[in-house]
Amino acid sequence: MSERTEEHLRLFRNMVSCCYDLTFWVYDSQMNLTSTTSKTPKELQFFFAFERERFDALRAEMKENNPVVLSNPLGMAWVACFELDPMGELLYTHLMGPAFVEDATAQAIETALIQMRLSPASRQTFSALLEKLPVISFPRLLEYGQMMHYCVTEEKCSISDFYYVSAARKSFESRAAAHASWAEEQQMLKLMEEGNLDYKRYASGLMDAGILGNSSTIRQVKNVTIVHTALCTRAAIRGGLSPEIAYTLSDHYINSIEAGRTMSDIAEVNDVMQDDFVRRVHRCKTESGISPQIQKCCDYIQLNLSRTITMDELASWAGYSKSHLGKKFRAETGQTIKEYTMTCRIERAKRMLISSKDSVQEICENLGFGSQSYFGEQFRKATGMTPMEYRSKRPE
Amino acid sequence: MKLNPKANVVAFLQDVSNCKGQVFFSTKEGDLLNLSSTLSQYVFAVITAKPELLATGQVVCTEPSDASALAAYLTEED
Repeated sequence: MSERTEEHLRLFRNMVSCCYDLTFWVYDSQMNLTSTTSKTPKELQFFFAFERERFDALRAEMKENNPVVLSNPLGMAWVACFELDPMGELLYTHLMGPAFVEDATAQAIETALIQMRLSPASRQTFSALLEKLPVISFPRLLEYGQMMHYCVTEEKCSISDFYYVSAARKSFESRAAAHASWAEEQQMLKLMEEGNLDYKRYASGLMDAGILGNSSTIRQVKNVTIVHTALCTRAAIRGGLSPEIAYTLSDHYINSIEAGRTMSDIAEVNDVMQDDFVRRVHRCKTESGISPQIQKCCDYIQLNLSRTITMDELASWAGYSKSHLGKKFRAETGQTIKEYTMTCRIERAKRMLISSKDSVQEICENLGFGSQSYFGEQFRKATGMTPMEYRSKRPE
Repeated sequence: MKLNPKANVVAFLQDVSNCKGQVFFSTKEGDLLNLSSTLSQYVFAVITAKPELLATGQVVCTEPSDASALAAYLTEED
């Protein structure tokens, strides 16, 4: 290491130590440790050692000499920078970390340790090690990575230049899998945009889209599902759904996701959301003989199936008189407003019977039927089956 | 069986993850770690850096075939 680089790094480490007790490591070209600021190197090295294989694999593929961010299932992170000789050969790897990027993770580990069968000595050893690790926000860690890269290379880099080694091992408290592929996501959104009703056959959905943040499992799933909802909303708009309706639906579904208490609650909301958007886009594309005002009425009816909508309300929404709206609606859709509303309620009930665990009574109330007997009567009239028979047969 | 103090702990735990049955690490002080658990693996790795904690530890496999697979990392009890 040149004296100049050593001097830069010494100053950098001293400056960082004013704020955080962050550990620095230097490895030679064979990844043998040559120096460290750690007082417990043997123990701390294990955390990095678990990630070495993936780190080395990424290093072999890197085309540019940019920093690497590494994380592990315990929520610890490192940043590595590489010092090269004038021929571009690796001289040293400079590593900074580990640090927790979220305080909640360190606390979660302490909670998990309490539940493990550990002797006082082992518990004390491990806890003491973790207590010494700093908690640094992820953006701050990246900024330090940029500074360390400059110390080592005298070149500036941006955060978007960083490489990432993601955690291949499952989080110590979650079952989350690796991220869904970009190709799968794009396929799903394309199907959404086309209003393709066979979308479930071609796309697995994104409920196992992996880890977003280092929080608890249910928070991660909520985060992923909310992002997925936003993407589906945009895809539906591109497919022809009016932005007004799309954003209203999006708000409703995001609120439902946040209110979910279990993974299956959230999965259920996700299924209904996807289905809803796809069907609306499908309708936009197939019912092209319908004028925008009548389409607006249809969308309004669908958004308010849980209550009785008055003709005054609809006429005001469409900008027509009540009589003109009634005639125009029937001429363009082939149904009266009342018939259309019932059709929508029955279709929604069919989806809810298949994709949710709500009772028949709950579905009846959610769709504004008034009474279970009326719901049952209308459902049988439309489908030839009672709601329970329909649910048990689960037709495609 | 005891863990050989010179064993590569990371390689040992990688082979543990391929075992058919459960693999435990127990000590006379009262530790009982199921080495298929991610957090337990980290705790175990840190314990191995302390010779006094490792000295009383035993690796126990529920499947006999796993004990053979891990034999390279283990030594007989004293």
